[in-house]
Amino acid sequence: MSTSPPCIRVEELFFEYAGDLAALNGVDLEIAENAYVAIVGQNGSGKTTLVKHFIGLLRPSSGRVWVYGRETTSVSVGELARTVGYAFQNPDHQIFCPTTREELAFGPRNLGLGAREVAERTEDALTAFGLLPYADLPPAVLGYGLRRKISIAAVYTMRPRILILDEPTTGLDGRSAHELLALLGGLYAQGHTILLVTHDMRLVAEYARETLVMHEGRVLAYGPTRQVFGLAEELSRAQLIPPQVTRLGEALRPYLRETVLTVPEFCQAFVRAREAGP
Amino acid sequence: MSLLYDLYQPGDSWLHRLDPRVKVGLVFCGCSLLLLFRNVWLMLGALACVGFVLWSAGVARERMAWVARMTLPTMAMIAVLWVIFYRGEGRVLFSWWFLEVTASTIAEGLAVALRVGALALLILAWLFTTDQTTLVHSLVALGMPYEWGLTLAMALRYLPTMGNVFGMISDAQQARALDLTKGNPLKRARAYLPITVAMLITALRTAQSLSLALESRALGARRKRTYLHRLHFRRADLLWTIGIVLATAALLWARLVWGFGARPY
Repeated sequence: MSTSPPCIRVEELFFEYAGDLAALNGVDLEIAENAYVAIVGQNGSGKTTLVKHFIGLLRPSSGRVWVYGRETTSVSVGELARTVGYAFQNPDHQIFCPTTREELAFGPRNLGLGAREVAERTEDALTAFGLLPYADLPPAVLGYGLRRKISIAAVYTMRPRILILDEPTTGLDGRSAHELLALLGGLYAQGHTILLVTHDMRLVAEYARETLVMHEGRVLAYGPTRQVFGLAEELSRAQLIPPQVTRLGEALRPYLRETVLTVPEFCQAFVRAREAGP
Repeated sequence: MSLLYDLYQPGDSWLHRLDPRVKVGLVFCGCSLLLLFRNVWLMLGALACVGFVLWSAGVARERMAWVARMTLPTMAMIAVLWVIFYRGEGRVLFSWWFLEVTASTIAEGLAVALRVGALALLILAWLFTTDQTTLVHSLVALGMPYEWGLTLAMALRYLPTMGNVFGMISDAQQARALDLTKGNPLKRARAYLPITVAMLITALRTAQSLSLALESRALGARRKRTYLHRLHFRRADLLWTIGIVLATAALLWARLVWGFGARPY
């Protein structure tokens, strides 16, 4: 795990929705600055509930959450949005402007940035996300994949130090998904903290440096992705199935002697094992 | 689920068992009579009767408390505003500036407030004891075109969904630093524009996909359709219907012919 100081700290976090439906049952967690974390778990395991606390959209029933040392209950959502960007799962929950360009400019304007800065950020996002051909079109009439990209780009323009994406690749074709993840990789390289809430275990295996497994409102496992993917019992408890190549690697564990996450890794491990001999 | 989205409370009381068409008749006759009479004592009696109906239907205490929280402030406001703005007949009890308070003004204000309370309770007694599907079935059975009934059922079915969507959209826009709390009321109202537009887009998209789904499942393909659930009119329902008709006729006669309940007090 990263050794940087934590940008998010969670202490004894409990949360209940109306009707006494417990969603978080005592989460203790520290996420280091410039981490790339995938948050995985079954539906209802508390993934989205947890990350909504990081931007102040939910207030703890008990326990505390700090973002860069500030307790989330002491600042408004708008203030936290300067630091934490959150792209919702459904793009239609964000989109409302008459053009894509205006949609991307909405967040920076809310932050009170100057016209030139807003224009620069908007153009940068349009280019980075390949949205220039759609800049002057109403985003609501575009296809789902494009709307998804726009909703993420709209958060990207706010340049938050922590970027949370809820199921970012849903509805995107393979190429768009990889483009988006490459872009996130670029932001990670620039020092941003990336949190992905996802069910896509292949995506987790390929991109996330760390993985956090949620189960029944608790953190079941948190650590480097390779280490977590080796915890067969925990993954099985959370009903998570690693990618086929990882399972094949685990089946050949006595021979390979390591956890593999991707096909190239498997090939390399296989060659190494062959060279090392029995 | 919030009370605002689905008022129905499952149960097996006499009112739950009553045929929903009879309940429609009861509510219609009750509302008509309440609008016809203006006597404060009659209204008080009507409110007590409807309160008794709610209690005998086994409506939970929390729901009764919710009803009280919703209706009592409105009733109080109506009574006060009536006294302030309505100039009644008879001896003036109190006068100040434009305000002239008479006994009939007070009685009429109270009667109107009690009438509103009784109307609300009567309609709530119906909605608390009739689930949405049965409610729509009853309206269709009473002659409402099936498509209208289905539209009403879907509107009711999508209330919680849309409420949920509103919450999500509000969260999504606030996560983009939209502040809904700062500024004067006009500024705050304008801040809701992004939420309203996104809500409209979502609602239209949902409506479109829903209409395509309904068409693809042959809605409107034939004029005549069959029903999975049918309503059954029992002997008790017949007796209730006769009772409601007779009581309504008697009260109408008393009000229109003898002038019963026409005076405020």
